[in-house]
Amino acid sequence: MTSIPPLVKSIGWTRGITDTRAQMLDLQRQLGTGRIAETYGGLGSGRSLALSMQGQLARIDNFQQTIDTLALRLDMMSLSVDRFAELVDTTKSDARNGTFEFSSGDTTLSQDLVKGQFDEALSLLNAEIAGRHLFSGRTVDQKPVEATQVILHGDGVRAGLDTLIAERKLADAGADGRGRLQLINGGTSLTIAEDGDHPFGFKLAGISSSIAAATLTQPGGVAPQSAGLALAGQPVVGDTVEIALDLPDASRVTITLTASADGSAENSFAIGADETATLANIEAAIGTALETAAATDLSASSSVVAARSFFAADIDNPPQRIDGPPFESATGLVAGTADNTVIWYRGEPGTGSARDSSLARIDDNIVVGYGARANEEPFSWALAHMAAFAIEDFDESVATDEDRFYALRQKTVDGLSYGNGVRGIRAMQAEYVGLQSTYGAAQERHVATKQIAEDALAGVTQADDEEVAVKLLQLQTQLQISYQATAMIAQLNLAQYL
Amino acid sequence: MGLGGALDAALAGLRVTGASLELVSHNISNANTPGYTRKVLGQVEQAPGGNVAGVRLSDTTRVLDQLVNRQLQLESSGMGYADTISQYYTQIDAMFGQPGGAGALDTLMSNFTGALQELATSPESAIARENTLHNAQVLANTLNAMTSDIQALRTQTEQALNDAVGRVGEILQSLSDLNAEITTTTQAGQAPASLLDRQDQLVEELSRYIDIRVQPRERGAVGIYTNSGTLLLDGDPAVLSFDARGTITPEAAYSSDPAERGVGTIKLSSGSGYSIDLIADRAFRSGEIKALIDLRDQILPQAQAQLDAVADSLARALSAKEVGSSPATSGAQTGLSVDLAQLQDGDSITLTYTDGSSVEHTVTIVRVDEAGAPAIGNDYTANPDDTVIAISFAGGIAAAAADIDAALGASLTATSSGTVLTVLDDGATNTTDVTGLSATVTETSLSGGSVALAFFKDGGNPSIDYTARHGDVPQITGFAGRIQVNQALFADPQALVVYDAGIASGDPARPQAIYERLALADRSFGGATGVSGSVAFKGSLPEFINRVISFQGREAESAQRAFETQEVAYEQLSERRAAESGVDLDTEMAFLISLQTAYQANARVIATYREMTDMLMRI
Repeated sequence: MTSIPPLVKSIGWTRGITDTRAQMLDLQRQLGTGRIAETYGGLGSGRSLALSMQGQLARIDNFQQTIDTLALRLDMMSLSVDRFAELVDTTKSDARNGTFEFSSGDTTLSQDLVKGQFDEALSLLNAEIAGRHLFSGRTVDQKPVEATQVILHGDGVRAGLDTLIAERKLADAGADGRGRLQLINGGTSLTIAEDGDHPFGFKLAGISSSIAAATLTQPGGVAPQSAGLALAGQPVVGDTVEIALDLPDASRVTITLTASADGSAENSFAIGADETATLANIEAAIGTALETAAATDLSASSSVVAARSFFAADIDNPPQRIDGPPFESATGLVAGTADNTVIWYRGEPGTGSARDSSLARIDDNIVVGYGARANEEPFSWALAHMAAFAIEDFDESVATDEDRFYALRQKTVDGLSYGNGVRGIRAMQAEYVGLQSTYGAAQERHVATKQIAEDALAGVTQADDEEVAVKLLQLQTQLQISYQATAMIAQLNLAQYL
Repeated sequence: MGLGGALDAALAGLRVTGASLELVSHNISNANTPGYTRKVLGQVEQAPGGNVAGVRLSDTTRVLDQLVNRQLQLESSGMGYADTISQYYTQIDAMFGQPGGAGALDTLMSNFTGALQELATSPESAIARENTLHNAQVLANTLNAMTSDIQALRTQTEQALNDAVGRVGEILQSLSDLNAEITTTTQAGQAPASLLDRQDQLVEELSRYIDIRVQPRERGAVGIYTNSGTLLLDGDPAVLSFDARGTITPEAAYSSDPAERGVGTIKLSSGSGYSIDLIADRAFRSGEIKALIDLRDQILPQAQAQLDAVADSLARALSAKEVGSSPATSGAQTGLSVDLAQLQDGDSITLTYTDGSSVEHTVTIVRVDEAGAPAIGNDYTANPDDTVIAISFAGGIAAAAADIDAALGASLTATSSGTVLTVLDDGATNTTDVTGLSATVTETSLSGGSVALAFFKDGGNPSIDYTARHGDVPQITGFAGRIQVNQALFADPQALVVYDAGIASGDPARPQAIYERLALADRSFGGATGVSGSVAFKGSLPEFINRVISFQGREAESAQRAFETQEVAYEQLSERRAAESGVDLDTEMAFLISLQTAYQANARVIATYREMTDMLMRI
């Protein structure tokens, strides 16, 4: 016979009613908080998925924040680089169209325009966001470039660009203004010699002549060079003597002298009575030509070279100064110090790639390098030429100054076209456009992945309101029926029928 | 025979019915008493010499199915075990926080790596630096708090064991007294049904604590043994004692060696003065006491080991610095030398060489200064193929070099000069070639010239360097409770970026390195943590943390399921027993009616007898 257990001990009571009530309370909690479980134990097998999705969402949030910061900085830098490129173009066209006209003072109209552009270019490089200088390499708290005035004219204690240019001009021109070349007349032979082994002045590149009776000695190639011209016979009218000279800025100028009857035209020499006299005339003509060339092409070249050297300096490599005074006979360079020479770039000198000075991690395995330094070649090269053009003084009354102006103008336009292995500003612009598209692509990926992760996480940890409501309803019905049945059973007692 | 016999029989019937009625009312009044079994009165026909003469009372017997009773006791110990484990696991589960909640360990780790990324993007930002330190501090504090929670739970188990052993002792004493009473009353011929009820109750309570085997003895007494055969009660009760410790720390662990043991153990002393350590003897297999022992000595220490592995990884990932080697020669021998100036207790040296058959061997030399430290095996390091040697540098580098030389064997020579260790091959014989030598040291300075830094330190006041020192109590034990952010960083947050003189404030090198070492680099976590069976787990630190949380969550869920399953089995048996031995009011009422009728009938017989004798008297 199967016995019937007392009511309170029966499983119908314990499992049926108390458990159902406990389940209903839990479902109520789920509805109220929206969470399936309050601890990881209650999540069930979706636990690992929940953990890894949470981790992924946190990582994506961080990446998105980094991308926001990066976007801000990159946009600013890209803007600055674009504007710099525009200024370079404007300067080039202003210089190309410049004429030898003055408004007031010692500089021509085009030079005044270029000075304004140089000013703006320098201030672009000082760009900063939230105290972080964008073109200073790793030393982001350090303003990268000095003030325009200090760079161009020094501050009284430290020498500025104008001093360096002046010193270089003296060293290149020499005491006699002939570009550190000596003319030695030996009677029937003329020797043109560099006056020493140093980087200043003209360097002989070659000598050629159409004189039949001339014996030419080419420059030897080893400093100090000399070239020679010996006459065995008289030239005829129209014969030429050409001397090729290399300038310090690696350009070349050629002096051409033409034989004429009276030597009155420019760059001509008279045919003398004999070879000695002719040679003497040639010597005089060369001398005059050298002085003219020194005052125009060489002087322009000195400006450009000094400016390039000045703008290639940084705090680890101060600018090279001429060893002197006296500068006219200087034979070497000596490094300036931070105390006696203005160093235009005060940021991180840097040895490796400038991009690596600022890094941003925008994805698990993508670290974007976007840093920049103001002393990068696209900047410093352009600034050197702009400054050299803007700073030069001219005098209308000096005969050679107009030619000097045109020489400088040409060198400026050539320089601002980059080329010759110099990294251009266009390449830098392209780099920044590339970086912007990289983070744009990463941003899109993150948005898509975030959506997937959020959905997966919600599926595992969030209570679906409809599902919970249906379950609650089912349990409620069950509980009500159980209560009724329990009440019925409790009533059925033999004692009541006795 | 005759009328007189009828009177006697009716009288006997009245007496018996009266006694049965008393028992019925006894049953009804005790219907809801826990542990009460329904009693019935035995009736035996009185038949002296084959002549029927009425009825007599025999024993009051309990309505009880012994088999169900025994089953229930067995399940009871399972219940005790599952219930205790499940309760503690609820607390452990709660300790790991709410899924996605702000205080959960994985959220805090994400916050820390997020702050590091922000620092790597803007190293010069003072806000980013402060944020990084703050998040690191919160992470360290949380590890400290979780450790203290785990140890508090262990202390709780210690206290609970103390209480349980005390209660078991009381029960055994009561059972022993009860044994005596039962045998006495049985001898005197009176049925001790209520004493037997009490005995059953006590045995069931005992079985919740320990898994026991009950041996019935003569005259209703019982003998109690554990399932593993230890005698608890047979005649005299065994005396159990527990030497509880006040507070439990991570270093306090169980050991069968009394000198090493840091927690209490259960000792059984029998009457003859012989005492045994029951935990070392593995005397308990189920029940609440076993659950508490498992919690205190295995489950909670494993959770602690997992947290310690997290803390160890945090500290060492950031402070490990590789010291490279330079070539060295001595005569015909060539080799490499490495500067060991920064090698501390716990750091290691890695040597690779090729032998005569061009097979490459790796030897890891671990600096272990403690004299009596336990031996370390080849599984001490993550690399399963290397040979691990422990060398003490307590006597100076020269002495250590001599030890290393001896350990390396004949084909390699190790010498030292100042702080530089040189390992050379066998020179002219040219069978071995030293291919690599490096030292992994702990960077202790904040601007030591490398991107490694002592970000976390061991202890608050004073704090020492964390070098994973090996010893009797390795430094990693309980480190999660002591890990702190290096206070010097708070004083000089610049050190998060500036790792050497001349490093700019915007240099991202160190922050990037910290991020990569913590969030991306794969590390190895020892098999003691148990997250991937007994082998080491390889993965990044955030992955390990997720594994730990997942592991504990799964264990908590299993414990809950096990408890629920056990509860169902127990309740079913309980229901069966109640069905069999519980007092059912309907049955008692029906019996009452039949007794009433029987009483009336017997009374009627007596009345009839009286009438009949009256009739006789009137003659």
